[in-house]
Amino acid sequence: MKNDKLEVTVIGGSGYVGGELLRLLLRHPGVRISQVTSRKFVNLDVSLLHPNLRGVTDLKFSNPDEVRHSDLIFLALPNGESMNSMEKWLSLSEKVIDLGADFRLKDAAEWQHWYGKEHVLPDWLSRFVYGLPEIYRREIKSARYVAGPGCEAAVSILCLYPFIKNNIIKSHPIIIDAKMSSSQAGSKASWASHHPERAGAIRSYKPTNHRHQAEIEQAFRPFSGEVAVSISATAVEMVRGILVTIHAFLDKEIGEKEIRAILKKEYGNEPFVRIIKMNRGLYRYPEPKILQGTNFCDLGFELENRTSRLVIIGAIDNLVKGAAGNAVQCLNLMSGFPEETGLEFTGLHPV
Amino acid sequence: MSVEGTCPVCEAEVNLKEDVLVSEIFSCPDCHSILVVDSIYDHQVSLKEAPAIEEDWGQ
Repeated sequence: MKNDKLEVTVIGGSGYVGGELLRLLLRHPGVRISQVTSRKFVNLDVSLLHPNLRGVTDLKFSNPDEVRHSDLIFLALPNGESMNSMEKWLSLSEKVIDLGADFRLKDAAEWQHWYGKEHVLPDWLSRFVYGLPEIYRREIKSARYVAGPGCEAAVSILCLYPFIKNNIIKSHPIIIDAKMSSSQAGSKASWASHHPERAGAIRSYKPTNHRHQAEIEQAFRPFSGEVAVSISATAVEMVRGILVTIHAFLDKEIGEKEIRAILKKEYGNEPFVRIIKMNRGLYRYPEPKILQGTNFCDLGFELENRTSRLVIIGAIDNLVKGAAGNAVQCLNLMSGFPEETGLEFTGLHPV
Repeated sequence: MSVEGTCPVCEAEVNLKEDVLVSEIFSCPDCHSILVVDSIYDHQVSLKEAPAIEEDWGQ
């Protein structure tokens, strides 16, 4: 702590998640960013890559090999990179929040199954707390090491949690139809992100066996035993945001009023979860368009009695509640700040 | 003194000002459904969901 501010370091600050972390942390009253690293852009202005921060900061990217001690380190690295350097980061900070996938799963064999290689630090998997405050708030408050959820997993878990915990739906099938934005693919250009190929696409890119199924199922084990979720992911014409439409089937008869009561019980005091099911206006169900830049997760539902189908609809900004904003929420819990600090942005309309 | 009713959508308790009138429209403070006052008797109001226009974007 310097001048009563928490000193934080952002490792991997040149990507989209890193940029969002900087945007949020630069306006956080209890935090000072001491270092932002990027091996590729050393000594260049942060605002060169994140032009929305022009005039807000004169930070420059530093070399990840020259990182000094700080109170908390955020890791915003590509999947598979943080486990290779984690021992170094642990020696440089009391607390670490990893936004990548390396420490989300508890079981090394399961991690290897989904990520296709052996985990470098299997003994450390159990030491990371899964960083979704609405479900694991108590654990995050006392945690030193937090693994931020995948964006698609975060919104799906928040949608399903009240229904699985309260035994409303069958443990399978649970089908998650996810519409994904282009920023989820990261800031590195690829053939798939080439404008003529990506623009206007409605591309079914992962109809089965999506990796996030593993962390969603893991998150529910303490509440319900085994559940089986199936994700079908489609890339759509959107830069930010995720919309999930989840199809589940009722395990018992239930009406809309009872569902509303359950959602109120589980989320009534949550600062970032809103129940959206309106009978008027244009935005009657959750929609990612109006969540851009916010830390909200909007959740709605509809019952189809004829088939006992429950449709749960969830929306987030993948870069905020799905990554950087959620990580700042974890920082607030870990550091004793009010949970909403730095996350007050309400979004834009129209946008 | 206020008059009381129950939201027919989410069953939240709703308090309205004493001079509320039949046919008056307001939002439920809990679920934000648009409600209409159907009748008033002895500081209790009966509420109904206000008729809404279905959104039709083609199907």
